[in-house]
Amino acid sequence: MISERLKKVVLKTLKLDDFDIQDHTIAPQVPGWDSLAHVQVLAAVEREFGIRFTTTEVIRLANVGELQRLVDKKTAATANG
Amino acid sequence: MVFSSKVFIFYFLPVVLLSFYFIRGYISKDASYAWLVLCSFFFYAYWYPPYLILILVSFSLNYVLSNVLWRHRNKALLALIVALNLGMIGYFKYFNFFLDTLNAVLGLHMPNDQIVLPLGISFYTFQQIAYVVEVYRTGERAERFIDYCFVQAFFAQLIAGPIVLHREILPQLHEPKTPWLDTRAFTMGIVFFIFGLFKKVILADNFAYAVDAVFNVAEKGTSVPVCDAWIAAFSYGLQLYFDFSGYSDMAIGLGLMFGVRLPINFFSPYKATSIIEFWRRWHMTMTRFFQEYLYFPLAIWSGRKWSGKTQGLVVLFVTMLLIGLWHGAGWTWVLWGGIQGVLLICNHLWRDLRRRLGVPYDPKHSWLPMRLLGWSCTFILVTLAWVVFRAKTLTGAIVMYKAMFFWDRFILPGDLARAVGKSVMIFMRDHLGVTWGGPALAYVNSTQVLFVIVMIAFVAIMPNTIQFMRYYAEGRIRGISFQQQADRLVEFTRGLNFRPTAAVAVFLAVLLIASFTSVLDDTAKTVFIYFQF
Repeated sequence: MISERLKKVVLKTLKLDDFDIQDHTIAPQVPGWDSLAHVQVLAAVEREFGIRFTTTEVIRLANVGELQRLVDKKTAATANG
Repeated sequence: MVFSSKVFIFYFLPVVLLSFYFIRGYISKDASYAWLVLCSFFFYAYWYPPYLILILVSFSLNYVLSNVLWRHRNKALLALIVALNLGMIGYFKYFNFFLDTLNAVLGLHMPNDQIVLPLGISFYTFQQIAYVVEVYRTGERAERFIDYCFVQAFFAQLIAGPIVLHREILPQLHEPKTPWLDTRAFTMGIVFFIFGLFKKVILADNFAYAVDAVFNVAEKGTSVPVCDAWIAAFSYGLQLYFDFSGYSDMAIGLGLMFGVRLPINFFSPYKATSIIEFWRRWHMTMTRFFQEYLYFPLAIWSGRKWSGKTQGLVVLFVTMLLIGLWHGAGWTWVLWGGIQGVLLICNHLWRDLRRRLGVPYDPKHSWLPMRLLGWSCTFILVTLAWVVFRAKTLTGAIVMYKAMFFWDRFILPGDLARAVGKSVMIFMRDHLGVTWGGPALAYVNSTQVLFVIVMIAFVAIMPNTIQFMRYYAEGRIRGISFQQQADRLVEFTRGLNFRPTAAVAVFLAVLLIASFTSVLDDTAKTVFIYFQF
């Protein structure tokens, strides 16, 4: 499940009005989500959720679902830590 | 040893193949890979034995230090290992360039060191950097030194790539159920090798004549006619493509002959309809390396302090400059990198503009005239960029560009004057400052012009080697991404694919025999462009 918050960040960064972003969505499927935009998306997600990724964590993200899970894990850690 | 040489094709390869399969059958699969490592070291040493020591030292040091890193995940240690590798390539490849630049800037006259560039250093250094970073990132490593050596030194990709990652090769060595001989892979290997060899010795080497003829003149500062300049530029783009993609085809083919699947390196780059797309089709393993190990880390790190589109574009530009520098120790290469950086930036900004204007870029639904326009712009811009890549000096590049754009001499060939008619000719002479006269072509001949035209059409329309094999491959080709599958053109040519039939065998035999006439001819001029990297 992709949270509305994450979806909004992604759409805003890519300047899209709407797009059906699901767990299994990958960057090439979304208009304008190339490697340049990818870095912008990650930076925007960091800012929105107040978390920080390491390169290791983000380099192998296979789809948006994995990004969501990573965000969930990091926000839980920040909340507890 | 060069793949297109007699000694490789008729001595090294058959001996290694036979011994490999013998050992694989009678001793073990493990032993056969170890044997390949030894053969690869011999292959490397054949060129200049002393540098075998260098590469062994490099492998050993990297492996030992990576093991320490694996046990103690320490960022400073990672940085040290990467720095050592960069230091090594920095010395062997860039020291004299650095000195020359200092000399020019500070007015000194420090003499150059006599340094012989170790073959393949750009490739094996970067491949090892990728390995050590992956050890840090994922905690996965090669358990045995011999495995590490295989992935790094396999002769198929040792000298000029594809730049392989451990995660794509190592598992192949340990798959329990691989047969003694995968006949389908072996067949594919032969086809890839034949295609690659033909591309190299028949196509690339024949384009070289026009290229050298014109560029040699331009390097001296002498201007060349406009047609010669353009034909030489197009010829170089084609020479470079067939040379390097031919080499990559041979590398993949050799891998398959030993049952190893190497990642692809080219996917019809001259069919690209944008520069962004071009870089997803040209030297793909290099792009992958720079994206994963330079662009992403740098962009993410700098994106925290300074975010926005500009930041991403600046990092992209810096990456392209470094890609240029990686190709050669010289300002022409850095300039080429800079040009590619600017082209990519313009491409991204254009896509932004399109989105703002309500006609966003959508590769799935693009209008054919726009795609044709995109294709022609991309092809011409890439060709123009190749001019500075090929020119050994800035002077040469400037002469070429001036010629291509009629900068100081608006001279048109006398033949064209006759074609346009007397009144037009006089009008252009008196009112547009055109000088008529001179031959249309001074340094290239009409056969070379025809060759260029035919081959441009060929690379724009015909399937590449990988597409040719796609129905036969059954999963044995690595590295085709989601985006590359969508090639509408290939549907029109789907009849052109490999099948084990007599007709195809005859076709391949013709290619092979043609190639052999060059391989066996000692006077044939042949140079692997990417060996200088």
